[in-house]
Formats: sequence, structure tokens, C-alpha cells
Amino acid sequence: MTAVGTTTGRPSAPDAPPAPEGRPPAGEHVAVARGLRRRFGDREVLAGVDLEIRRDEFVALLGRSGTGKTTLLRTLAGLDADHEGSVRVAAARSVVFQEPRLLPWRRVLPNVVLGLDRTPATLERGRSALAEVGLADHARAWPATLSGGEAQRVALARALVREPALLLLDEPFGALDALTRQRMHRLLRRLCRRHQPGVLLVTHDVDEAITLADRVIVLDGGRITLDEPVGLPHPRPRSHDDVERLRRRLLAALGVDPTEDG
Amino acid sequence: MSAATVATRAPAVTLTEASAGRGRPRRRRLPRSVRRAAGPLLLLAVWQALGTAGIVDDRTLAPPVDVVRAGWELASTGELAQHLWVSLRRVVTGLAVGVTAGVALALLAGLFRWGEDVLDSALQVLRAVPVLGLLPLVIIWFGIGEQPKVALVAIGTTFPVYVNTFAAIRGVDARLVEAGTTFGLTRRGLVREVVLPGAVAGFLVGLRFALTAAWLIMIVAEQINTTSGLGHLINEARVWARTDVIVLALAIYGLLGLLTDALVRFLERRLLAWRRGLEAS
Ligand SMILES: Nc1ncnc2c1ncn2[C@@H]1O[C@H](COP(=O)(O)OP(=O)(O)OP(=O)(O)O)[C@@H](O)[C@H]1O
Ligand SMILES: [Mg+2]
Repeated sequence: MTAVGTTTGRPSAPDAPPAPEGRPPAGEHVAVARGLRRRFGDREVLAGVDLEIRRDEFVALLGRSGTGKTTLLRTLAGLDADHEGSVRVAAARSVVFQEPRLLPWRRVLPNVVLGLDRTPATLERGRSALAEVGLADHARAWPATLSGGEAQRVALARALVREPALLLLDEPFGALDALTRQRMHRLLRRLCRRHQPGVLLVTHDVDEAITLADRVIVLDGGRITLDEPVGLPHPRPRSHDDVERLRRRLLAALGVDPTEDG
Repeated sequence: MSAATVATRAPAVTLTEASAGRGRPRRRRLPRSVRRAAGPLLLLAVWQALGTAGIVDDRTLAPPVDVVRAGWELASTGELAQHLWVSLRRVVTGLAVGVTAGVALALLAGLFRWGEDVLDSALQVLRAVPVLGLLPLVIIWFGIGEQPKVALVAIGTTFPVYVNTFAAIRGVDARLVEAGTTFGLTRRGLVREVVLPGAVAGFLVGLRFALTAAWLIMIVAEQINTTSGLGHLINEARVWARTDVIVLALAIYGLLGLLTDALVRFLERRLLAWRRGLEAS
């Protein structure tokens, strides 16, 4: 069910030494898509996408609504079986969806370690993952009692406790208020520095992409129309000229007139 | 903003407790239970008054006091307890069989494609047959002992449990199933962690329907070819025009219905504690 036709386990160069625990070494590809196509009925949503993501690389995927960002992410997650082309992704991968998707009938900690064994060691890892996202006290809470931001942090803990080589994030902060989103950005950056997964972050938000990403790609008309490294030091305030130039370029690539703010 | 600054402005703004309903203190009012009891009590009083005044005679409808007296007499001879016990045993046995069958069928049809193909259409057809219409057949099959009553209850409770549990299994949030899949749950894990817990609420709805159906079926089934049970008591009372005994038996049926409803609500509080974040312990 999880394995997709062409989706195979960990990709590794032939001469590379075997990676410990299924995690490819730094710099190694954790996702490679070649000529990826996906159609729904008559509509070709992905019309030949080539994409590579390395370990320790934070890639932001921008695109207008309905351009197929979620479709691409679901394919990489192994949740879509009906694509053409080759998709190879690391076996150790986690997803954070737009909604938290916690099991409402399980408390927070069992949600975090869902699908893992229930040994004391695993539970302890779950607890420290919760502590990492600042929710150590909520281990026994019901998901229904969490705020939106808290629930999404639990979802992040659930993704990270698996030590993924590839972390797929589908607009994880879309439903959060601006202040919470900023906090989540800082948290995510800190966690990614520590765990160093390859990240694909799907977002509508150009500023979010600029704040977080090492590389930004834009999906339009079923193809990747822009793919460039950000290469700016953190933090990246909008007052910075290079940041503003990148922002305009991205907005233009998205078909938004950058002179009209928003 | 303090209350003082509000008060100094004219016209004065009155601040009231924001929480409506549950949280609002009701010190000066009658407790809700007292207010809710007032309606039925009034009804009883009118009923008694009509009887005492001779407007409604005993053969039409005995007044509450007579009903209580009849209850007392039957209880003191042990007759009432015996009939009650017999009825209760029939309902519980029938329910046990029906609920088990309903859940088992729902699991087969809900979790396996072949199960749905084989079972669902057949069960949907059978469901359309009114259970009480089966009474003559059931008597031919099982005679006139305990079995036909138990069988009728079992048949009548299988369907509501099946229909609601099946729908709940099929209606489980696909996004949660998808999330479970990405986090490495196997098919069995998905059933255990996602599908079954998600179907509990639907099962309880079915159980509630089943309990109502069970008593309804029992009332009718026990009035035919029986020598024991509450229905038999009613039937006998009809022969002697003892409306007090009839009303008594009906009241007991009502109480049993309330009791079983309370049982389901208890189960809901226990099993669905996560819904409102209540402690389940
Ligand atoms: N299961 C499906 N069946 C039919 N069409 C689909 C399905 N999933 C997606 N689509 C279509 O594919 C297109 C791309 O959808 P997708 O969800 O990938 O967009 P998106 O870029 O994630 O948009 P958004 O930013 O609004 O989330 C849409 O036009 C959508 O209607
Ligand atoms: Mg999307």
C-alpha cells in the first residue's frame, strides 16, 4: 500500500558507502523524480516534472492554487499510485499535512509514536520529540483539546520522531495566524538544523519560502518553471535588497504583479 | 478596562457573565431536575384527579394510585419480579445474539470487499422486511417456547447494529487512513488504530436503535402464546379488564427503556471520552 510502483527505497550512488539506518549520508539525494506525469481525467496536472532533493537541503515549492503542488508531494510520499515517470524516494520519510490529521481517539503521545513499536525507548523518544516542539506537558492530552498551532506541532513531532531523511510538508502552517506561523518557522528551522532531513515545503507564501528555504522552485502549468538556490544569510528581512529582488522574481514567476503588494 | 471606568460613563453599561448556558450560575432558580419533574408530576395529578372525580372510570384507565397499588400487590407475591426477570432474560439474550451478529457482519462487509459484495445487498433486502411480520414464521420454526421471542429480538437488533456499524466503518476519515499509511501502519494496524476506533460512535448509534427495537419487539412477541413475561401480564390483564396492571406493565417497559438508554449514554461517555476531551479514567 505504501510502496508505489516506481518508488523504491533509499536512493544511493553506486559507489557510495551504505548509509547507516537507512539514512543516506549528507549531500545524497533523498528524492529524485524524472519525467513525472500525473493526469486527472483529461487534465495533465504534472506534465513532466524533474526534481532532486538532497539531504540537508530545504526546498520550498511555490505555485498557484491548483497547480499540482499537493499532487507532487503526495507522489513523493508514496500516496499516489497512478503517475508515470520514475520517482525514487528515501524509505525514511515523513509527511506533515495541511491539517494535523491526529487520531482524535488517541492521546498526544500515542499519536506521536503511531505506527512505531511501543517499547519504553520509543515512548521516551516520543516524549523528547514533544519536548522539542514545546509540548512536553501535553503528552496525555486529547487532540480535541489542542489549539491549531499545538496540534500542528504535534504533527511535526510525529514526523520528526521517525528521524526522516525526507520531510514532506504540505502547507503545514497555512491555517495558523501570522504570529504563530513565525514561531513555527523558527521552530522548524531549529529542528531541521538538528535533524538535517531533506525538506520539501509546499507553500503559497513567498515570504515563507524566502524565510526558510535553501532553494526555491516554482511549479506552473505542470512543470517546474523556476529553480534557484536562495543563498542568502539568515535572517532574511524584507528590507534587505537581495531578499526584495528574490521576492519580486518569485512573485513574477507566480504571475503576480510585484508592484501590487500581496 | 476596569468595571469602574465603565460605571462612570452614562448611560451605564452593564457587564454580564459572558458564558451562556452551562457555565452560568443559577443560584436563585429551582434546580433543573425539579423543573423538569414538574411536567410529568402535573400530568399524573390531572390523571389522578380525572379518576377520583369519576370522569374516567377504572375500566377505561385506572388512576395512578391504583397502578401503584397493583404494582405493590404483584411485587409482594413475587409475581412481578418473576415476569420481569423472564422478559429481561429474553431481551438480553436476543440482544447479545443480535448485536454480536450485527457487528460481525458489519466487520466482514466493512473490511473486506468480498464481504460487502456477498453480504451487503442481501442484508439491505432483508432489512426491508418488518421484523414483527416474521412472527408467524418464527412460531412455525421455533414453536412457542422461549426461542421464537429470543430469535425475533436477535433478528430485529442485528440490522440496526449492522447498518450503522457498516456505515461508520466505511465513513472513516480517509485522510486519517492516509496519514496512518504514511506513518507505517500496516493494514491490520490501520484497522486497529484508525478504522475501528472511528466506527465506535456509529456502532453506539446502532446499539441505541437496537435497544429500542428489542423492547418494542418483546412487547408484541410476549402477548402471543406466552405464559410468562411482562407481555403475558398485559395479556392476562386485558382479559380481566385490569387497566391498572396494563398501565403498570407499560410503565415498567418505559422504565426499562430509559434504563437501557442510560446504559448507552454511559458507554458513550466511556468510549467517546476523546470527543470533548473528557478524562476517560
Ligand atoms: N483526486 C483527484 N481527482 C481529480 N482531480 C484532482 C484530484 N486531486 C487533485 N486534482 C486536481 O489536480 C489539480 C491540482 O491539485 P493539487 O491539490 O495538487 O493543487 P495544489 O497546487 O496543491 O493547490 P492548493 O495550493 O490549492 O493546495 C487541481 O486542479 C485538482 O482539482
Ligand atoms: Mg495543496
